[in-house]
Amino acid sequence: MAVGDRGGDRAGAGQKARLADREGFLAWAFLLPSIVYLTVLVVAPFGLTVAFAFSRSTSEAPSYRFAGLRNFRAIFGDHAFWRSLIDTLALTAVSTVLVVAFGTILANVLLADFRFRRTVRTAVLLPWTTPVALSAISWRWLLGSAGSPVDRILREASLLHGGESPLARAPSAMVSVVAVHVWRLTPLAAVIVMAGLAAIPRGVWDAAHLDGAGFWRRFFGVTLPLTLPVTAVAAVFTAAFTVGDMAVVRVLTGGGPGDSTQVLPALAYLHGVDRGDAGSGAAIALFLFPLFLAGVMVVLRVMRRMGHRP
Amino acid sequence: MRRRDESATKAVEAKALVKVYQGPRDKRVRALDGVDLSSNHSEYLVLLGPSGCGKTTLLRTIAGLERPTEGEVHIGGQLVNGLPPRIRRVAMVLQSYALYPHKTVHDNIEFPLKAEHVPRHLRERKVRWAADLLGIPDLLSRRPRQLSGGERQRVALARALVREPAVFLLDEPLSGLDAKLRATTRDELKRFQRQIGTATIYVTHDQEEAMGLADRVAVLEAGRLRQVGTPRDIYDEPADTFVATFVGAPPMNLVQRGDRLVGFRPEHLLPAENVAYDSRVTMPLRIERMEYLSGDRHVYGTVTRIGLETRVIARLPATVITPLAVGETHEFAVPTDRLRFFDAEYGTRAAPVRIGG
Amino acid sequence: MNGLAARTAAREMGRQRRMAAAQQVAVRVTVYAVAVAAALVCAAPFLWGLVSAFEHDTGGSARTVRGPTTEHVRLLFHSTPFATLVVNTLVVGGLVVVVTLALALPAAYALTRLHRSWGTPAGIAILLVYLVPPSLLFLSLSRVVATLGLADSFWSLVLVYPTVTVPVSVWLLAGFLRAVPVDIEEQAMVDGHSRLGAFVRVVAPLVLPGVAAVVVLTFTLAAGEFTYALTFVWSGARMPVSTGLPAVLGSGDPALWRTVQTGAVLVAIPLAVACGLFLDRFVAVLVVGPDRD
Repeated sequence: MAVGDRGGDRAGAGQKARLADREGFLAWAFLLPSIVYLTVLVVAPFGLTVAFAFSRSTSEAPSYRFAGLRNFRAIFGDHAFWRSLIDTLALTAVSTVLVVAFGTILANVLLADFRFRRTVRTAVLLPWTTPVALSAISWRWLLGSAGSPVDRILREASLLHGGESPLARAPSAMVSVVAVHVWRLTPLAAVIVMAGLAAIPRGVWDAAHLDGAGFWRRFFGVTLPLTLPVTAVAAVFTAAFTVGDMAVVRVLTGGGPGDSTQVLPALAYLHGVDRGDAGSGAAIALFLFPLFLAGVMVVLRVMRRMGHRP
Repeated sequence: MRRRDESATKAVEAKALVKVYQGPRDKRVRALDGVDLSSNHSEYLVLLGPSGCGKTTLLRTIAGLERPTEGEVHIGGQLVNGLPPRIRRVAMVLQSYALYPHKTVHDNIEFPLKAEHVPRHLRERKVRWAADLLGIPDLLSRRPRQLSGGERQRVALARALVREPAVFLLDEPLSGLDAKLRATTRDELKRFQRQIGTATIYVTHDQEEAMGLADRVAVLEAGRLRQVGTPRDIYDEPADTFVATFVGAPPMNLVQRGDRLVGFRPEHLLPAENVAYDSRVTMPLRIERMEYLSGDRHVYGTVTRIGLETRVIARLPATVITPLAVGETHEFAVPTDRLRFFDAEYGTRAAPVRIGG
Repeated sequence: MNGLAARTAAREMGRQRRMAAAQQVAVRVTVYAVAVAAALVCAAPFLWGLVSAFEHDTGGSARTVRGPTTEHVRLLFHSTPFATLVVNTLVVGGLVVVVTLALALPAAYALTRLHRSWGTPAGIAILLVYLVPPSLLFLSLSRVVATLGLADSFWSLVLVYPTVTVPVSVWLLAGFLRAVPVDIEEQAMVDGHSRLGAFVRVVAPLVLPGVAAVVVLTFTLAAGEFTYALTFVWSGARMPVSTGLPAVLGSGDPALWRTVQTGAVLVAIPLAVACGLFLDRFVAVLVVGPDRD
């Protein structure tokens, strides 16, 4: 900033010192509240979670009693935990891949010019802007009740028999959970990728046309490489929101049928709140942390790469 | 498309091109308003005009990046309306050069060849050939962000060159370079074109550039073609006041006299004693300011008698040593055959009118 | 060109032209098809909800009653605490917006206008907080909330929601601020304003549309949050609509299905419309990017 350049006399130097001080002070003063707030309500509680994981605290006896690895040994021995962990990872991986694929296609389409673009754009936002639980309820109704369009379609296709719904049997229940996650997060990924696409200078597209690149060559030779960082960010966000989400499972299937869709966060909630065992719940929730770390590293790597672009 | 034996057909022909598009606030903009233009083989044609005149739109329409609302485009004698750029065998260098940022220089140049499925060994040979021609063989493994502006331009030219197009289209290629580089690059571009011999259409808003480079100049304004001709024709016989004032720096002086505008270029306005007695028109010039530029004297002042009182500029070469002072009124003159007359209302070139000496 | 060569070339050109035109049409059709399909799939549950909201409930038996009914809408407002839930959500959302702006605006300003060496790392750190799943923190935070005496009150939500909304808002506001050239501010300072005065008078009005976008997004995020709401607030009358509406179902009365669906649709559509209005702005700032310099 050009304010206060090199002054010669002492009054000038004093003036400069005060302004610089003020700027530094101002920067701190403005940033501090947010940093303090986030530290107190995110970093500290995370530390607390770690602490709880090693404690024997429950809602009846809430005081902190150190319990070493007791909780971990308990959950490692619990079949439901392992199942939940694997299910969560699988669910997240599959959802992320699907979301990125659909999101990229959707992003390309949304950027094109066509009539009713406004309406389509608004409709496409519905899954993500609606409260998770409410979307989940709607899907539960759509999937689980006799007489709904989905129910009828599936029956026509002989995929359903008798009086059951996709939510009532183990494999299809998980598929439904994946479907709802993909449905929910594709718009978000699409918006992020849209931004990446729009950031490509227009001239590059013209050059590709002039150079005679057909649709697929343009896509694989120009579009994909240039949107890779943005797609990575979209993938990280998707994974983060899928892995940490318990609303869909809780409302759609309640973890059922019979614990087959009990993802990690829902399991943590089950242990920590429903059953009142804070130590166990915290220990389970902790397993979400490595995934968060992985996401952080990807984002950092992408940011660094983007910083080097001209 | 064979072009060598087609001396009868033109390299590029635009017929009655109209381009209308929706501007901001839903206003309809006529970027091209009925343009008829043709370019010969091996010719260096420059589209000259101020920003917004439609020259870039015209170029893009010829390239196939824009579709005309009305009119036809012919390349090498073939109607190319509706055909994508690659079929038209045109190559275009955009103002921003538009190099693929994630590819090396080598891959950038190779890209069009890959798109046309040229076999590998042939591709390599062509890339080398283009790089050598443009003097950039040692840059092949670099990426665009590591290159200077001039180097990037060469890569863009090499990429255009490998396609061996029927027409080269250049969109303000010198505007991204600093002043010193511009002069040398201008020279190189001309030599490059002579060497390659391909028809070139070049867009610029800089009239000096246009006059220096072109075999022919096409002056555009507000989507309309004002005049097409050699630089000499444009300069000496402008078709209207727009061309007259746009080309040439300082611009042509225009004095209103009745229903006419009398035009004369600054270099033809000299102190009367320096102009041949028998065929000249004299006018008193009240000197307001003088500048000394590169040996010339630029005299700024007001003239009367030949028309309405008007501010004019006179450019005196160093050989004219008539002493002049700011504030004095001196008799200046213009040779009669250097006067140009324009219709005062429409600006078009008009018949001469007798002016007393 | 002589006759035969000319005719062949012309035919080839014609073929190419037809191919190019056909390709254009194919692209157009695909775009429309995907767009329509996407819109339908995304809106599917809500369309169905909208239809069933006005349908007579026949309990699964053969339909005999025809014609629309407003029974379910009536039920929604009279037999369920829907109105209260919405009010709760509005109040919490509004307060969270205020808190978020109070925290995020200065932070964004500090990050973009007051250049400090720790600026960029701090900015990135703030963004990364957004990735922390609430499921990692809800247990500890419930203890914190209980200790503060905020258990079962919506103030607990007002306290905690900004952890979700502030990171995103800082990032977006920083992006909007970066889009305003520094020159304008410097001009104002030269013209006699203090740094802060310059900002308030000149920059703030230009960023206002961006702030509006952030307000809408913050409200949407706050209205949608589930985990914290579920953990901290358990009395039916104090819940926001996100946890309250599903809770209505807890009573197990199947007849309430359509009623609840209606509520979901009534919440979903305004939020989507509001965000849709600002979508272009979001994309624009993402494009310019807070990751410049």
